[in-house]
Amino acid sequence: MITNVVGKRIQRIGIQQKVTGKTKFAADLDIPGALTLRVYRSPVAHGIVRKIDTKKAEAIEGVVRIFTAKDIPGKNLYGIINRDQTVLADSKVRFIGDPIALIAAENEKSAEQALKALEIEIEELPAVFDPLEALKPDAPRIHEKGNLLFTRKIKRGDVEKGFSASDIILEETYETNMLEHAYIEPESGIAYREKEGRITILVTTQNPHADQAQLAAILGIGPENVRVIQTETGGGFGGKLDMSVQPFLALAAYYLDRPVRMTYSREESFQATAKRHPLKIRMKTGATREGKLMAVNAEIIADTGAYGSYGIAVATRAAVHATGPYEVPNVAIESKAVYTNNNWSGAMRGFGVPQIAVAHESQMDKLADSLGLDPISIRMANAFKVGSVTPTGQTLRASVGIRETLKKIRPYYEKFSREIQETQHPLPQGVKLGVGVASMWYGIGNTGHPNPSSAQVEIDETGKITLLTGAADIGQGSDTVLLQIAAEVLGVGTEEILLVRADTGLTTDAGATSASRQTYISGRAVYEAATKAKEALLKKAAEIFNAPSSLIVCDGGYFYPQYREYQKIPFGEVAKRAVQADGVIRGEGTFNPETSSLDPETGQGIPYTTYAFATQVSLVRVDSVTGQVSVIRAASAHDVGKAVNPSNVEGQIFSGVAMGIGMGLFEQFFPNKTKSFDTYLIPTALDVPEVTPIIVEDPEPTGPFGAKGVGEPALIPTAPAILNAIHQATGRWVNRLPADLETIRGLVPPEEK
Amino acid sequence: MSYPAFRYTAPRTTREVVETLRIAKEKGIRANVLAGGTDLMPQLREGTTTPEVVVDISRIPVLKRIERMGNEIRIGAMVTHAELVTSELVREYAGVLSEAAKMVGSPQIRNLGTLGGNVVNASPAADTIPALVILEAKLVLKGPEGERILSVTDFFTAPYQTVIEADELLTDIVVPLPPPSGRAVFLKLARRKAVAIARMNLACMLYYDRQKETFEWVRLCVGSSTPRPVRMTEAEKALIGKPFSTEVLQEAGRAAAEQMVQLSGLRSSTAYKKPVVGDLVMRAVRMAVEKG
Repeated sequence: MITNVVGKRIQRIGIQQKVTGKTKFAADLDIPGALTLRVYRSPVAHGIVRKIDTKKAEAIEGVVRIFTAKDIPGKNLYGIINRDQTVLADSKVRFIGDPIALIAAENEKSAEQALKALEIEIEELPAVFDPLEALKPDAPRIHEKGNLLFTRKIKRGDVEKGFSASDIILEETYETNMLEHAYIEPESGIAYREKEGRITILVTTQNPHADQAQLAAILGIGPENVRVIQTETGGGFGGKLDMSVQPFLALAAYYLDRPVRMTYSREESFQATAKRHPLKIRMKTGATREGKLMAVNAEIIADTGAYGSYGIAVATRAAVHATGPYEVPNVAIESKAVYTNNNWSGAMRGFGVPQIAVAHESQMDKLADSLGLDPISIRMANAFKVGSVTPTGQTLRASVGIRETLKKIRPYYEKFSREIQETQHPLPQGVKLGVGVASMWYGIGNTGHPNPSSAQVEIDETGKITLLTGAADIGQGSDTVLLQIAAEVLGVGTEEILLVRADTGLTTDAGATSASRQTYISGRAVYEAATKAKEALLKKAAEIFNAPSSLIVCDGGYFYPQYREYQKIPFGEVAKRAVQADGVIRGEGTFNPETSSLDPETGQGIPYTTYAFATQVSLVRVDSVTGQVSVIRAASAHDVGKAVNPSNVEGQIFSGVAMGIGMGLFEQFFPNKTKSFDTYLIPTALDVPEVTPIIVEDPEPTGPFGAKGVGEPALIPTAPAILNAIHQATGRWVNRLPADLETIRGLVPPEEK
Repeated sequence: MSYPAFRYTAPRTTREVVETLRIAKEKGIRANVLAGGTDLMPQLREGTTTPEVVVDISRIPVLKRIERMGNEIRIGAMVTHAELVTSELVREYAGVLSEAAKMVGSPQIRNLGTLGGNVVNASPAADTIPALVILEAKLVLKGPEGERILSVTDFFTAPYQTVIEADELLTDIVVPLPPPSGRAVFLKLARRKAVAIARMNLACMLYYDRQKETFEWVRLCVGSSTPRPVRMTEAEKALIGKPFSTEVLQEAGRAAAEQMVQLSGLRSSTAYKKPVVGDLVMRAVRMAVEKG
């Protein structure tokens, strides 16, 4: 397919404003007379609030009002999948940081004084911080229904038979780290009540329409009385899918006849928002002598902390993806999400798949090592192809690019391996080099749930084109990609389309910016909307040229009959005549990829229509004396279906490697200990190597121009590739993240250093 | 978390600074000196330091000079890490201090943070301190009664604790020119490659006589491993007069590890640090010898 806009490296919309510091984020918005909001948070991990005395705090000059649970007009219970979280504690607090009271004050100083003057008594209850402990019958009960939030089972074939037929069986346990998203922009927003009574909230978010619905329920009003406008968002990585400041802003704006604003400090952002679920995984893998996988049996425990958030989705995704992108005839997986009194875990780039990939990719290399196979060959021997059946019983029909990513990575695997052999100067004592490979698969969109998106393309009598989408661009680039898709369909440049995005007052629901779904799902909705608008114009052009509309060409901003380009009429002229005749043109597009819910006992079903695939190789330097590991080179091949904007895809790949280095080597959030970037270390520019991005395009028939997604896939193979490279360098396996100084130092016995 | 209110003054001379500090001390007013602010500002925000008056010394030109005076280099307390990295004088005569300064924080922090601040803050993990220790640097403290000059190793008493009086100002860091035969190495070990607090840092300077095949002199200091910075004298002794061999290096490493444990006691980090300090000492000595 020849395209003019799609597939081109169009500059990111708004990027110049961002790099020159002109972009206004929520905290930069000027709103005269706004009150400041602050939250009193529980200092204990588990307890019952016995007394809240606000008298002293209310007497402080500048304090306008203090809200508690009793002020919530609607339902004081929310949550993106299961509702278990209170806006302000009505009785129980479940982690250090649970909100109890909300202060509205004229200024920061009064709010801070009020925080200190609040008299709150909490009866402390025994707390539990380990998910295995939390599952014991006598464990403290965190929620009324018990500490087990959810179990996902996947059963296919007969694992016992599979293991009997295996020549080699490996059983290992893995543990992954609790992580903070570490977006640059902390949570922030403003809110006010419009003259007509509607509560309007401008906020950094990945999920404006879901915010609207949840806020309406909290306020006990109809969703039409709440308007959520997404502000420019400085990163989300899943951490801005749950609400943060939104309920506080909405509650204060509901009661007070004043605009309000709230911005989390970095410390509050660390304490009060979701983390990546740490997983404990036991995985047993059986294979034949030739390296063909026969059976995978796994038990997964995800610590979802005090609240469910996306815990159900994480447990499910970890189970669904547990085999890796390989054909395995016999599968038995059980994955649990468990409540503890830790910080609550939620969505974070990959929803459990980066964690489970550590297990399945370590298993692949362990098998390869035991069987004397190279890491790419063993993956190739098992990798999905068109016609393969997944553990949920889904037959893959198209766009299965895993083998192509393996082929594309092989030369880099060989090049990096040669580089080790050819290293001329001797390395310092104890320093070793290694190459590691890891692959991944990732289902695009919500798991086994409907995933609709919608969009509109409007053309007015002046020929002005407007694209309306509910999709929140949080820095990943959906604005640019969606405009490219619309522009390609309409045969115009992206600069000729006005974009209206992520405002529940103006746009319709596009679903969350999550699960790597916006390019694929909202992109397809935009494609449909633009196509419908174009059809209306083609009809008019057909009239003008007195030719069948199937023979009208729409390209380069003109309409003309096929082979008669000299007769071309500008896009705007056709639009004008069409609108004069029939009114404003409005193309309505929707898309909801085919899914079916997974059977509760066997997990059989269609979790996603399409999957992204990737393989990554990295060259690492392991200093067994100090324990330092550095990634010195990486190449990552991603099957994205179609790269609507190759620069965007490459940007995702670079950032995925960067984020994965943090996950693999040093990031770890310790509840109630990790307060800020002082001790939570994310990679710096010096920690990130040269990355070679490789784009594989195996088109997805249902995607816009064949596109799928890459946002989360970019991250997933990084940490396991590093672990496999550490093994090659040292001959030792690391089964627990992060592979930090102490782990690596202890890995290699002194005589081998 | 907003910054607390305090009085702010920015004197133009060191004499005025000392006078302000003296009056504050006399009246029992909590005063803090502000140099680059890279340590003080986070402390103010966290509320761990609550001054009533902040004395900004960034507008005193004399504190920003780097000068050679006879057999010494005199570095003003307000000289930034970035300036230590680029100063030709420092690079030529006290290169190990340049190397240490280069490892501090990030470009932004190096542009603001000062040598004087790094010393007075007295973090056990400070990168410049091991370099100053092996350079046998002296510190000039100015007080109401005049100046006193201390050896850098006599300045520190415990983590974040020094002998500086509330009415004293660190004005200069004086580095005697090391013997030209010396070869120096600075190593920093941290969890990531920049903006990281040292898990361990090490400065080493030595002269290995290739004719005699012996270590003639050795100066060694390991940061982030002892409560206050000290020379690793046991490791130095293990090397001096000995040839460059694996056995000798191992002995020096062992001695350093033992001295560290002796000084800091058994801590949760000892399991990692004890073997690493020994290996790192061996690595640094080897690197210094290989410099020729």
